Amino acid sequence: MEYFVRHRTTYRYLQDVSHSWHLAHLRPRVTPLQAVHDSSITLSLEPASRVAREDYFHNPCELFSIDRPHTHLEVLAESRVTVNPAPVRASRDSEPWEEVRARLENPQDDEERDAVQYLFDSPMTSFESDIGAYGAVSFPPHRPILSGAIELMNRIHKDFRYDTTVTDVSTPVDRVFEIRAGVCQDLAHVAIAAMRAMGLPARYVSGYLLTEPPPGKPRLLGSDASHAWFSVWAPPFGWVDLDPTNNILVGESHVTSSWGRDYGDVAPVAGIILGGHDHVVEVGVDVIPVDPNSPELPYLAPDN
Amino acid sequence: MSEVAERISLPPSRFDELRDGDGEVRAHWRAFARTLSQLSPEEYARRQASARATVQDNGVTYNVYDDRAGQARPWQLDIVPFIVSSADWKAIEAAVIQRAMLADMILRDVYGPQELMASGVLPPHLVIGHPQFLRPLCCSSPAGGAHVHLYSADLARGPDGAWKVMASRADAPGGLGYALENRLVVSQTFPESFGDMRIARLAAFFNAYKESILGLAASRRDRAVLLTPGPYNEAYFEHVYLAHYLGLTLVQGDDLAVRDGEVFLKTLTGLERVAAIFRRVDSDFCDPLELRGDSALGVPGLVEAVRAGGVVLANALGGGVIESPAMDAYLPAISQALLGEELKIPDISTIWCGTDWGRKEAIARMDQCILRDAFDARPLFSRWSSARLGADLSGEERERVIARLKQRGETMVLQEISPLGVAPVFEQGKFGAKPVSLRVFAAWTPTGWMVMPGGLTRVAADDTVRALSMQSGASSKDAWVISPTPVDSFSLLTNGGRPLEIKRHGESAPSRAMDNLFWLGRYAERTESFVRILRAVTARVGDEPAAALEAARKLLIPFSQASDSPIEEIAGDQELADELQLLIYSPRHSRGLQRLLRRVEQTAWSVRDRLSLDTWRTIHALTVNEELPPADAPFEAPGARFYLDALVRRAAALSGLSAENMTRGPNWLFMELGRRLERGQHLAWLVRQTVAMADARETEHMRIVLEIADSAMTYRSRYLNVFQLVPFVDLLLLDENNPRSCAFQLAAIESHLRELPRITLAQRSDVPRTIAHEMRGATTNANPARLAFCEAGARPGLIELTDNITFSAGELSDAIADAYFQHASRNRTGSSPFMEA
Repeated sequence: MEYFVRHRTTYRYLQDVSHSWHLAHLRPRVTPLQAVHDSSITLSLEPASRVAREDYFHNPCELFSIDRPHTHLEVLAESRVTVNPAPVRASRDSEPWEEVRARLENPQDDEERDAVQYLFDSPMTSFESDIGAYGAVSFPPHRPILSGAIELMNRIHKDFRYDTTVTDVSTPVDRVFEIRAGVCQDLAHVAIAAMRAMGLPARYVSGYLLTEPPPGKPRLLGSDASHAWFSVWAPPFGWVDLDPTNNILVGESHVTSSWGRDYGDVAPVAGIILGGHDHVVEVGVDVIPVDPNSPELPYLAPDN
Repeated sequence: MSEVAERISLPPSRFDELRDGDGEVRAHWRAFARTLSQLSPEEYARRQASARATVQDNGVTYNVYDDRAGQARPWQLDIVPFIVSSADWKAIEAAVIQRAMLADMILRDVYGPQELMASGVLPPHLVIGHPQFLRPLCCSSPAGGAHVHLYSADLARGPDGAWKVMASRADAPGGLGYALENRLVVSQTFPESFGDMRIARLAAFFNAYKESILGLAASRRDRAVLLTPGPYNEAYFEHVYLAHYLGLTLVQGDDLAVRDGEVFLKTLTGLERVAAIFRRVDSDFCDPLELRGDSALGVPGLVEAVRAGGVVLANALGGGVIESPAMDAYLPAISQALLGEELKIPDISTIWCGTDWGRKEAIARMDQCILRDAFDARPLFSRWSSARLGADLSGEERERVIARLKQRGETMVLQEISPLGVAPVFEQGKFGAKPVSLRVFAAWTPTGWMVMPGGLTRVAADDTVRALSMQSGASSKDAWVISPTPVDSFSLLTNGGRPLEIKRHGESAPSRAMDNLFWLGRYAERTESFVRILRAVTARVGDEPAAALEAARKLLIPFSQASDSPIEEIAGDQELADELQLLIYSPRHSRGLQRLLRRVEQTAWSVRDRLSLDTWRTIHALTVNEELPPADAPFEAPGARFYLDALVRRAAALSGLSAENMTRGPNWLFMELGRRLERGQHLAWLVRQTVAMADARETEHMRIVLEIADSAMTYRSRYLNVFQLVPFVDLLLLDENNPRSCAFQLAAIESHLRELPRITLAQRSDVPRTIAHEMRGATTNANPARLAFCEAGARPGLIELTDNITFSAGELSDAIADAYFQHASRNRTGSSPFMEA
């Protein structure tokens, strides 16, 4: 499936911001299932400095700073990507979770060594609550790791309420676990914490969902903003992505943007501003299928 | 000589630094033991007391976060040095150099090609699982190539006398400044021994450390700064001290700015390029954009500047990775792989529990060992340390630990600890022996590593294994290394060499420091004015209760708040006495004297590097926490007067010192501006509060105001004992010859403002000067008779002028801040109104 993705972030500040620095993860990465035809970031102000690079996880990222007083900034990211359907995985064919853990105790190649970093608590998935015991229910002895992860996803979907009003960016995963509610980012963090508590590798994936569902299909939760899910390393398949918010395996309607240990590694735009006093952020996301036979980009109604 | 040795009783199974197995004093201790036995106990106590006084006067502190006793705690120093023989030192020196080299090579590898992990020498868990592994720094090489410029290792002796490494530091090692201060104090305490014993000197080490880093910088003309977390950091004193000793500008993150991949210092006159940063802020706090977003200590964009190669950071960012206990378990193998050598001094025996074997060992041996988080580099058993003695665990805790070992063994280590060697100490008037450890420092130089011949010796607070964290009440010592050859007495403080160029001013000043000096001037003046009001009221409490009550109602109201009618809260004599007791003594009264003194102290502490030792000591004398009556005790006027009198004298000492001894540079200018502005505003307020409304007790009011404004003598010499409003108003508001008049302050402000630079756009707009000029014009053009003119019980001219001064003073303060201080607060912005869906 080919998509046009537009992600617009608008900052409005109460007072002049004299300087600002931003780190953006807004350009989708190439993955085994995803090709990126082109992507760009457009700023409403001329930046004083701007550097595009790849981060440690090989996500494209961009650093820019603005050095004159402003009260308004718009960051517009536009990309065209093709997402291929994920191959069908028989979860029972994945390795038992104990074997995955043993394998990572003595990693043998680059892929295994890379997976090791996802065993450890990261700033936003550190927990002290009983997340470990909650997750352990899905991992009885010798269960194939992907079967366990899918069950964990089913349970989180069932036990946690999707609610955009109860958490914010700084809500600790323990709190989400306690109130059993949150947004896609929170549910992903809970799943990741539960996997890592078992000594199993799990990572955080940020991305997008198709805005308008195909005819006859329900609209998915989280499609009007950027989305997030988790991924589990399940040999022999490698990394497999699961979306606990919608209780589905990640497929053709998910566009992958970036991945890392948790949200903190891949926030779409992180910023530091001098001054400004208070600010509001508005975000608009559109993910529109492109007809491969039509050379024209889909028509997008200008928002606002 | 054995006399002292005999007085020391020794715990069993310890290595004794002082005596050998036969009870004989070891050769390298003999000379010093001889000195000690020649001192009388009284003389010994006197020297310890004098050393302690020096430490306190110099403001040597080690702050403890959230310590109830207040933020600054005096540094604990035991004057008996820790003496190291030449032979022992040779071995230590070689071992520390070997480890410093390894630390640098490991960091070079893990932030570069990562071959140690690929070849299986180092489990990747210990690097990419480490919270201090800073991914944004990967694949970039620090300017100059070296990752580590300063390395430290904490050494201690086991029962067999063999040295072990307890902890190592390669991120932002601390203790160098304390070691230096200890040396200065202890060498003065035992001048006879220090002179005779061929003790190796430290200055050459500091010189090499500094020069090597400056040598890496792109240009020697640019600034070199020492980056501190600020006055609330536990080791702030050391940062001040080192910056001064090394000739660096002390800065906080807010003082620096990154532009186009280069780092600049924000000064009064704009941005100045910074070539080298001596870093004392932990790596992960250094850049809120790419590292810890919640850090208020860093510089946004610093990592990008590092990648661009525009600045030398010493140490380079990311050194925390090698500090973890888990790394200790693999250091022998790494040493073999990288150097083909065994470790010359091993770490305390450490097993990482991320392997099958490690877990089994841990479960089998936990009773004799400690368990600890694999990446927890905090000193053992310090506050927040994760270390637990296996033997201390309850049955339930034990089960939890075993479950964690099985599930997430990679997050834990098992360490063997043994009783530390003991050295002689002198405490509470007698000698004893306490466990010690020695922190040794190595500095990178272009020609190889150099070890400081000495170090910071730390003395455990008690004799248990929970020892040796400065935070848990331990003490420290100087370390004397006996040199095999005559010592080089090179000193950084009396550097000869090439002739210096004459300078009439220092380097241009960081604007944050000027902001603080401005406020130090304001708070110091505010304190003095308030003390004078309190004293004037207190003086009347016994003899003239009505006058006291009247003055209190007018002047003990919320500070610098104008009010046409006196407050009625202070109903009678008893309420007044209670209120005075609280205002003078209570540390919790929001507008009380004690709060104000704390503000003076904290503001002074934040610019400690810009105050002379004498100025600091004067401020210390003014703000020191002395034994005060409790806030709920009954008010005693004589005692209060005595205390307030003393404060007036101390405040006067401070203003006298700054008038006479501070160089007329920006430091003085801003402190003085703050003082003048505060005093001018306060005088206007005083006059307005007391005589704006006609009142039968006017003479009484004028007398008390003249007393508070220290102008009674002048008034009397001009007008004898006749109190009239016209001369009164003239003397206090309009007379530019009276240093206590409003007009005098305004004239001084106008002249000081002319001295300030006019470089930036905001400065060239001249707003402060325009305001000051108008304020001064209002007083010079005022007619005292018109001010005193009374109509329907009020004096409209006086009210207009004083209100005008009060209002304009506030505007002026803001205008100065706009033009000279950077004051925009830093905020974070996120990706969405709430978060991702």
